[in-house]
Amino acid sequence: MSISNSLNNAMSGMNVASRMAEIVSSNVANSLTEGYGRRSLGAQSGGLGGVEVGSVTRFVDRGVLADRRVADGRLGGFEFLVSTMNRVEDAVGRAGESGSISSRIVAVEAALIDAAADPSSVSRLASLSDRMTDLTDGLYTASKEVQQLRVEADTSISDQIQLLNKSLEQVDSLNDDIQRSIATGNDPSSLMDQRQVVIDKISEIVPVREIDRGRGQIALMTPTGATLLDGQPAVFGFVQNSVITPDMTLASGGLSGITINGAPIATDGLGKLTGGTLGAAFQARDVELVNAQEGLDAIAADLIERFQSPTVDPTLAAGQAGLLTDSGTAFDPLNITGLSQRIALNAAVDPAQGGVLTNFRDGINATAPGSSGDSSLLQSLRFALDEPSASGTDPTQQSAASRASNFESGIGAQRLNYDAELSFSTARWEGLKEAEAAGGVDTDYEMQMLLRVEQSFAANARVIQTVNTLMQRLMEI
Amino acid sequence: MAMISTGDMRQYFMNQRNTSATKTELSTLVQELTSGRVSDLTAHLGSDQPRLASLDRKLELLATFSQSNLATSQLLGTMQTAMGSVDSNRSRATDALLTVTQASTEVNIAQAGSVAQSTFEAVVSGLNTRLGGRSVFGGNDLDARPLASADVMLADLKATVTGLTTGPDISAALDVWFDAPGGAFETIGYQGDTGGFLERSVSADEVVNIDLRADDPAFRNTLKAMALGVLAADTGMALDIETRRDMQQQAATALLGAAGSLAGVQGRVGFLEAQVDEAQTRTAAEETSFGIARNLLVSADPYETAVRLEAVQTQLETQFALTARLSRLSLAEYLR
Repeated sequence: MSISNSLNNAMSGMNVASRMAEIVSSNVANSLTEGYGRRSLGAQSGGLGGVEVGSVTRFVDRGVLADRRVADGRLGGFEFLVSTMNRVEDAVGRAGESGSISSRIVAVEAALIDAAADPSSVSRLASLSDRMTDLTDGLYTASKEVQQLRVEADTSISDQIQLLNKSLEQVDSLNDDIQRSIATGNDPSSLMDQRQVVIDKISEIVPVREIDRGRGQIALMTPTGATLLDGQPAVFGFVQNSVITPDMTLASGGLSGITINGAPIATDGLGKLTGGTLGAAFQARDVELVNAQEGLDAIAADLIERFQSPTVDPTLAAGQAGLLTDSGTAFDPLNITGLSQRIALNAAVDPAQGGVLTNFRDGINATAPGSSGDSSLLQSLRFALDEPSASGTDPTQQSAASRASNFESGIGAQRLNYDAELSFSTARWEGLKEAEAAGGVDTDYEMQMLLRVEQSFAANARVIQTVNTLMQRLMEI
Repeated sequence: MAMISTGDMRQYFMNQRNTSATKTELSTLVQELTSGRVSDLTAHLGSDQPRLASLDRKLELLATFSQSNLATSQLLGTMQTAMGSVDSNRSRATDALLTVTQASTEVNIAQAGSVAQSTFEAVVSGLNTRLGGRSVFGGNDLDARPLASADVMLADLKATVTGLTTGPDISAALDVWFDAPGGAFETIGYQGDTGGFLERSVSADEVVNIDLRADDPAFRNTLKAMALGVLAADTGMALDIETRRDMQQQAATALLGAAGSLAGVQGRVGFLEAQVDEAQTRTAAEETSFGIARNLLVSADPYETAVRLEAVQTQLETQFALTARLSRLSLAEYLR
């Protein structure tokens, strides 16, 4: 009968209104949630009259989301590189600050001038010895810090690989849950929200693109073409090293790269997983920090070579270690790696190791104290530092202090490069994040919906009231 | 459905980013204004970093040279003072010895001889001057006394000339004692270093060679002449009065001749002093100009920074006002 049909229609209308209110309430409750896709209810007119609840649509702008994920990866990567280079700059020294390697070399030069002004003064020779020890300590500390940063990069890679594996498994299980939920006719939106959050976490490590595989399933691929998840998640492996020394590199086999499903991913250890914090950690560990270490070792080699020549110190035999040594022995051009951790003051001038301070003035191999006012060796040591000469690893002719300051400015310049890339990435990321956020929940809109729902509910209730009155009337006959 | 709504989060996100960016800029400007230096020097200098490092190095070395040049000037000044006293002693001895004539008596000769002895001792102690515990005329040996004591030298001289009776013989013996290479003066008298001269750097590329030691011929001639005067009055030697008179007159002549070479030595030291002074002036001028250049590289102009600080402050206040206004602009407020 049409009266009972009207009742049914009104009931369905109230049902839809209350479902809409539920959607509105869910949207408003999640208005501040990251990764929440705004829901909306699709209503369609019912086959037998009235209205039927359609599906719940979850709004996500896939294009902006994909671009924002790539930008996330780039941003995280450059942030890591900038902070690493900042710490290298701290260790090595910045322009204009005291305590840098080049300022320690200058302090040695000044101490040589002081000692030459009064070569008989043992206290000036002691202060020269202190400045030289400061220099070797500075190189040692800087090199240790660089290797420590490599250990941190290595640890970061290991943590990220673990997180990546776990997250891929989570996405895989969420895929199954969503498929099951759709099959049983439930609303998978909140599972999709969770999956979006997990994939956001993955794309900081390695930027990924989602590929729809139907029935709510997705596959994950990197923009460079590596498959992370397609039905089955890929399993990544990595061997962490807790102690890293300058001679350990990927090429030498001392450090490990990533394995995918048990096989090594590529010769550079990273393969196609570039673009995120994982790529940045590899860049730091295998390129930037190795370059920094090589620069420090080149400075150490240059210093040792300058003092090792018999033209500078006539008491030295050819090939004998001079004022600065490679842990006590002479300089070996084939063994430069890690030299900055081995550079040391010659025992012949160090009272703590059985030497005498006056050997600074008289020569490394001097057997008896020479003339107390003879400043010729001290002067020639100073000229040796100042002389523009080419080092084995670097053919440009420069003085020791300027070689060190060029190295420091190189580190600073690299940090500025990454800074510039970071600010570009940040601007791009901000723009995309803003566009993504624009597609989120708008509480004003939801309030308006609520007004309409209220109105619709009230109207349907009125219809039921009227139908009830009609039926009452009927009963009164 | 077409996009007819804009998410709330967009507004919050934009406000947050803008406010934090402005606050970061504000704190950077405050730091620059209070310290007077640019905060991120690496970014400010860019590829000019090695220039700053080399300016710093030059300033440090100039400061060190400035200090050591003071010490070198003091050394040269001490040398000049000592040589002044040597010269005044020489002229005192000359005056005393010139009073000896053919008519002089034993007493006159003895008087002249005692003046010669006291001036000999004064010259030896003058050449043994020390500055800050370091000997000045000993060459590269700063510890030992350059000359043996006057008594030791005179005793050895007396021993060398015992038995000689004529003036020319004694003069010849003194010549051998003082001037022969490897002779008694070089073995017993001069105890300093013979290897080289004192060298002191006065600037990064300039060295002064202080080529004056107690064994310089000017000093040897002066001492030789004074010794002749002393030996002439020595009562322990068997000499007749004629010989003694001749010896002392010869000593006076020799001392007059030594004046020229002493003046030459003083002139050499004066030239070195001028060299050091000039280097010192140059160092001071370079320190000033490099200091100015360094300031230009690292300092932040306070006026410009203050103006930017005002602008950023106003910007931040505007952002705060806007944030407050926009947060009240929501439909939910009007549905209360």
